Amino acid sequence: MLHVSLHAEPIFHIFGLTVSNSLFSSWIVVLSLLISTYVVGRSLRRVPQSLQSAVELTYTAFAEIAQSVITKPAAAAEALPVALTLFVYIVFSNLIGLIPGVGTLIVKSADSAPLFRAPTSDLNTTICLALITVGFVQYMGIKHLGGKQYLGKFFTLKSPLDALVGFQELISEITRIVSFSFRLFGNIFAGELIISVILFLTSTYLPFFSILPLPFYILELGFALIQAYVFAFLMLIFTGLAITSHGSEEPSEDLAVV
Amino acid sequence: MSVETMRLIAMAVAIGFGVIGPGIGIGLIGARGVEAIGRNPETESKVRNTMILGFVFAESLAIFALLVALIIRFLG
Repeated sequence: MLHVSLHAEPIFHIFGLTVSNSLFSSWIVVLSLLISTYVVGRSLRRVPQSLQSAVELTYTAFAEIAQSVITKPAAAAEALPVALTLFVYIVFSNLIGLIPGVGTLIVKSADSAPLFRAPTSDLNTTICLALITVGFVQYMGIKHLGGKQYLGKFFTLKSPLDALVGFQELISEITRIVSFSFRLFGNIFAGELIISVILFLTSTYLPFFSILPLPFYILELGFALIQAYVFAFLMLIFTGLAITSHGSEEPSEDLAVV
Repeated sequence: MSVETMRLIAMAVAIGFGVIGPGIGIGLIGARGVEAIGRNPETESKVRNTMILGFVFAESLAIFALLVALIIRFLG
């Protein structure tokens, strides 16, 4: 029968600490990130090969976005590494859930749990990423605007309307944590659920059409990239918003939507 | 009807009706974005950035529906 669990399940214990399957997989993600960084960095060429050019393309794409969204070049240079780190980590975590064997290899213990689980399909990971992101945005705002001016965005007594708008911004700052974490978690978890349901139905009722889950796999590959892109892109946008003051003389035209 | 049955129906209704609005919104944003790029291909990157921002704000409403559905199902 189909094994669906909303939360990550514990697989073993070290020194009294419970290690869940998503935590275990995130160690593997970190390890594979380290290895791939080493492999790419070992043989840098002036004319890049396929792997190096993929990395360079990602970097230049994000550098362009950061410069267009964040008006201060110094702040853009600071936010870019964080955004790229988030992007790479989320891409790897999303893709590890699509590897065959993840979710199907079962640990035989008291309650049998899958050995691997995509880190981003666990709400703990995504809430943690969202807290880091929102915290970084606050840090950038305080650093580049000054604590008094930045907090003045939220708490003002200049006029009743300003106080109300400030309160509303404070609320939206908190809702960002929820929407950041649930967007990533919902998309990845639902994607894996769809694939497993389709696989289950195919293997039960249409054993000769085993190619049926393939389109969903391709869809999920796209979603894995798009969600990571959206996460890093939103982080850059919110940083850009945080470092612009209300009474700015030169409002950025890119930010007029928000 | 038992409480468990009601809860399952409530979850399905919450997420099912909750994604109608965001679905329409995302469709409209995507259609207008493609239209804008088609009329003025030079502004593609700018339009795309704004479009993704619009998608994200429309989508976060669907996420709230998902949140409510999960709360009904697992925490109620």
